[in-house]
Amino acid sequence: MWFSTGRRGLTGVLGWLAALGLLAGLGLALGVAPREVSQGNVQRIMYLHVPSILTAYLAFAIVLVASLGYLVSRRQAWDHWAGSAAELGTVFTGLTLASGSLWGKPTWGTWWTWDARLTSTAVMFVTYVAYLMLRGMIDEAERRAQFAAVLGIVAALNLPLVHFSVLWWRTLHQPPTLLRPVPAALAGIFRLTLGVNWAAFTLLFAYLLAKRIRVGRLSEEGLP
Amino acid sequence: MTPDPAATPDHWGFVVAAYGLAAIVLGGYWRRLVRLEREATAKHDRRPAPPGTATPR
Repeated sequence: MWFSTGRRGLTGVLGWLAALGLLAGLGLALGVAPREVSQGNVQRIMYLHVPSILTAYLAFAIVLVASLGYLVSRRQAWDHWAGSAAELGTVFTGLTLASGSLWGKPTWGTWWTWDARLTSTAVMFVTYVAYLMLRGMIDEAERRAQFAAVLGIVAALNLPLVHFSVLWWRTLHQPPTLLRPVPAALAGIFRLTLGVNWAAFTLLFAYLLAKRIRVGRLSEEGLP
Repeated sequence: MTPDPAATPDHWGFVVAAYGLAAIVLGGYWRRLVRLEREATAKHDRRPAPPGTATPR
């Protein structure tokens, strides 16, 4: 697949598409989308916060699939996918936590609260940081891939808990805007802005993932 | 009742902080990947060719 075989031209195209998408998303989020009536301008953080967590979900779903793929086939390429996606998922989860905190202070009056959504997201972040630390501690490629694959599968058990925590428990955090059983009533321009930013984040993720996989593969081949 | 827009504070500072932080984090990560890719490519290209594949002078 071009992702792992080093087709740099296609990765470059993906990078430019991501850049254009991010510019369009930024223009919509900070310029075109109107000020939300009850929250004011701080609601604009949602155009960053929601795509960040959705991208993190995608990344961790890839970690799960690639981990299963490695355990079944023992092919190192699956491990490159898992390790790279986990690193990116951790970055996007960190952004989710930080942007949520910046939204929470003016809206809830606090930077942080131990409600089910925030706590389960923090646990997810720490779990994948531990996953990356585990990968960094084992030098032998096969052992590293094997241990990481097991942790990659176990860590994914928390994903439904994070997403559905706001429906299963009474929390301060509002229910999900997207990926919910009954679609949320969202005015056209808000939906468009969120959609464009989500698409841009997904493109950016695909671009960074392709680059990260290439770095991992080249580093491994360059070993003496 | 619809809140009065003038009554809700602007909070642009929080918005700028969130987007600025995202730009720094994602931009920094991208730059790190570009550097790692350059280093890994250079290391990869410096590898000795496998026996029997060297081009004679």
